[in-house]
Amino acid sequence: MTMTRQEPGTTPRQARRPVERRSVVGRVAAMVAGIALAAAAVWAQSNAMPYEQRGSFLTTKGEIGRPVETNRYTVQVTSVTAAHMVDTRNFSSETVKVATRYLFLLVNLRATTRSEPMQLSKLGPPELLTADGKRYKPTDKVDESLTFFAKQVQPGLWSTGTLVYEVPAAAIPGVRFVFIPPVAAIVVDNSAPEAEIDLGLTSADAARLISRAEAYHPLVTKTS
Amino acid sequence: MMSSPRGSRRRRPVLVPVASAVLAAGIGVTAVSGGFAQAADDPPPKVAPGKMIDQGQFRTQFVKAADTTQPGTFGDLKRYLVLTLKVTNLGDETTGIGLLPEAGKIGSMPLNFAGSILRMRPEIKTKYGPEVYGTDFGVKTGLLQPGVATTVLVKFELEPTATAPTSVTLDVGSFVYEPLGLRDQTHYWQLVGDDDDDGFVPTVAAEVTLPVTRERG
Repeated sequence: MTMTRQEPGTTPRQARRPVERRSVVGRVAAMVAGIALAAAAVWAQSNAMPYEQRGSFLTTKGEIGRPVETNRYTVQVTSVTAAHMVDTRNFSSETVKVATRYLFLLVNLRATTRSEPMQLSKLGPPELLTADGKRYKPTDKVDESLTFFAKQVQPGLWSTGTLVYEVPAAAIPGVRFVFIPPVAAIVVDNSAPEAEIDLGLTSADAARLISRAEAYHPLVTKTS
Repeated sequence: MMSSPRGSRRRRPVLVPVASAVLAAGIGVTAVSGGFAQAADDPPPKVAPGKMIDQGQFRTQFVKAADTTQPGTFGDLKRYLVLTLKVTNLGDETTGIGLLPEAGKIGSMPLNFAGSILRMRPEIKTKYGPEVYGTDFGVKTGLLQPGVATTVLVKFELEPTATAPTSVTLDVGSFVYEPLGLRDQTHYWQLVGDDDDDGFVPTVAAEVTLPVTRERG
């Protein structure tokens, strides 16, 4: 064992290696690599998702007339109309007319779900998203009993209904309909899918829709 | 005992007297200029009835105040003090109209319009507080849609024998769109004010005095 034995006192001195001097090329390469890594980090950070998008729903995009399929439901906007006056129900359940100084945009839709029944929530209702990023909730001037809020959406069955929005005419060109599934108010399920449906209203189509807006669009059929 | 390694010559203590002199001068100047108490704020700008008030999230006109009789919920005539407002939502999202805040319970995030009406003088006590709603062609609404101007009524129910004030003065706050904090960076419309340990004290952005007109038959 004397062969491997080291004299006390020599071990630390031997372990401390002489500082290895890098060549100039090596130093420059290391510097460049460092700057590149730092720049990449800054670039990656600048591409980070804005805070509000991190918790937003998974969006499936589609267009009017085509069913948009998500992993929980399928929704289809069948048509869009504009009107100056529609129906509502008062407290006595009588149907009365309701007018606006702006426009009522009526989104006619049908939907079905995959496995569980669902009903739209008033807290997180489907919205209209305008070209400049404004979000409109359905108007409360029209009673829910006449709209898609009152409809149960069930697996294998298509439910049909209308959602009514009150918007200024300027908001209509390029507007999209965002179908937001019902979620709990406090614990929001971020993996819930939302469907963003382009209503196909280019400025020419929007102008036509506005100029031909119906004076009165009944939501209740006379016979019922 | 070891002697001081930096020479035995004792230095004159300059720092302490100079520092005390500076401190004393600072205290003196502060005391003369009114101390650390908060300087009196400028009184909030007074706004005439019907003038536009920029509240950040809303553009608001306080149109009038009237002592009037109107049919109540069940159709019977009731006496009300009605404030008429015209509110345009300048934000990007549909917002509720809400209810007037209770005195002393004003939060920085009312998440509705009526939370920005901070105070009314004289205070009118009613059993359930005033009704607040939007109205257009006789249809009630609780929502302010972006870019849409809505007539908003604030209705205080009055006793038939009560004397209505000759004028009412309202303190109005304003909103800023800011992230809630460092952890939750979601942007919300928040009332401008001071948030300290005693609670939130909103800043009055405008003070409106409306003469009360009599509109009773």
